[in-house]
Amino acid sequence: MKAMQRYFELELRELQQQLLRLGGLAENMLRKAVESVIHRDEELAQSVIENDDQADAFENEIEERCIQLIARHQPAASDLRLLTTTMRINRDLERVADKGVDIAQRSLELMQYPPVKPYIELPRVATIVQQMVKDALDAFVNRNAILAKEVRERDDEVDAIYAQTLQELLTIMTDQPALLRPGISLLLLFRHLERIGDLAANIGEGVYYLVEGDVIRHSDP
Amino acid sequence: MKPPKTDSSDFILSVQNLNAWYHTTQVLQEISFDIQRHKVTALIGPSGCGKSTLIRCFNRMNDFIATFKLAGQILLEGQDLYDPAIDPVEVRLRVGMVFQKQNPFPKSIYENVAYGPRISGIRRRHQLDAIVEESLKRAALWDEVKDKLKANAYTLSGGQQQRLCIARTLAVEPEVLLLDEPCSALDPIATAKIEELILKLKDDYTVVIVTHNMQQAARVSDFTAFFYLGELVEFWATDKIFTVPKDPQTEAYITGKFG
Ligand SMILES: Nc1ncnc2c1ncn2[C@@H]1O[C@H](COP(=O)(O)OP(=O)(O)OP(=O)(O)O)[C@@H](O)[C@H]1O
Ligand SMILES: [Mg+2]
Repeated sequence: MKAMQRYFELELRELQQQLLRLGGLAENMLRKAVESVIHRDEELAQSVIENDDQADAFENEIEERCIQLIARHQPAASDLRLLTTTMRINRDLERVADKGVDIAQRSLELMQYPPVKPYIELPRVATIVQQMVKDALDAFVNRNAILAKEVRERDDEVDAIYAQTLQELLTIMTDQPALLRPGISLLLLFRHLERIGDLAANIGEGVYYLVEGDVIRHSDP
Repeated sequence: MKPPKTDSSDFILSVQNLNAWYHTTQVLQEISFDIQRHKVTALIGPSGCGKSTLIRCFNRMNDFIATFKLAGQILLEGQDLYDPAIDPVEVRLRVGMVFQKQNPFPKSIYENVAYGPRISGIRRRHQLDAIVEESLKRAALWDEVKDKLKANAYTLSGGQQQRLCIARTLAVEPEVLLLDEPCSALDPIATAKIEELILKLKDDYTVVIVTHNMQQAARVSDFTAFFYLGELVEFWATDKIFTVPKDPQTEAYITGKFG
């Protein structure tokens, strides 16, 4: 029983390491994708797209491992919450990686055209959502419920910038129909970033449940 | 289904400041909690924490142990089980018990089930037949034994014997069914049958089960009480106890990190 328990704990620790590897990869893909947009770096954008298979493979491995651990150890309480939260974060991180790929694709499209507008909001939103992903993972590692909840709250700022940029881009595209194609790519790019904010917020909610054993009430500020 | 009680209370049993001793050794300390009607309540905790002692208090089985002493109260439908005016035999009819080791009488299947009703004065053959059939059906054993009611109970498998013991207990129409580790000697298939039976029985009875199998407690019970060293550490909805226990001792026990 005791030896079994230690073995299970080792497995849980390894699983968390695996999840953090996926997290690192997703963060890296996101960073490179955004940089490729700003520096019009085709090679960098391509490298993000190439990372996609790796992210998928990590996700599948983690999912498989969680299912095996649940089946073999029938965990309860915090062990159970750790496994279900890991499955949830796993899926969210893989989607962050997917969004990185989407951004890289928009980046390649945007390179075909002259810039639609100076990138002012882009680095701002990118920085916020990157920090959200990073903090959500830090909250997971340190079992920090306060940080987890705080990450979720930052999502509002992202939504606000997204709404404002959307307006601005629509105005530009209406005035200059020639910018329609790059305008749409840029608009989608902001949409991808906004989605990453949602995913980071989701991870925050998962971590909050893991630590507090309670769901964040949506009525809370 | 029994008609709803006029008593609006959801609780059938109420344990109030219960303390228990063997000789001078105290084995239960200030236990207080209520057991809900038509629900399954699981008692869990490490060996020796007092689960069997407590469950035996519910039908006064400890009366047979000379060194046993008790303080505090257990109310069945608001009535003190240990009130001197109460007949312990009647208590045991209202609160039936099934043990870890299946213990049918060395008699026929039929006689095992008919025994209780006979004792309580039912003599008519057709009446006994009806009770035997009904009880065996409720214990999900009828289909397996209906053609060999005269066979000795010992010819049944362990799992069947355990269901026979449940049928025997149900034959006297108890209100509460106590099960002390009813599956610990059974294989997974027989165990699954008993668990399924427990879930069905709660429509008509209130079930209290002692189990060392955490998954079993999680599967069959609505409420779980965790005991440690004679104390009730945590009593809560099973859904909660197995996902977000409040007490670190409960957490350690159900995740297997105890000791
Ligand atoms: N008849 C008895 N005489 C003296 N002490 C007893 C008697 N029965 C039980 N005890 C003691 O009382 C304590 C509680 O025992 P009990 O059988 O209630 O525990 P339990 O939780 O059911 O354990 P297990 O899980 O092993 O069945 C133990 O320390 C035990 O040794
Ligand atoms: Mg016992």
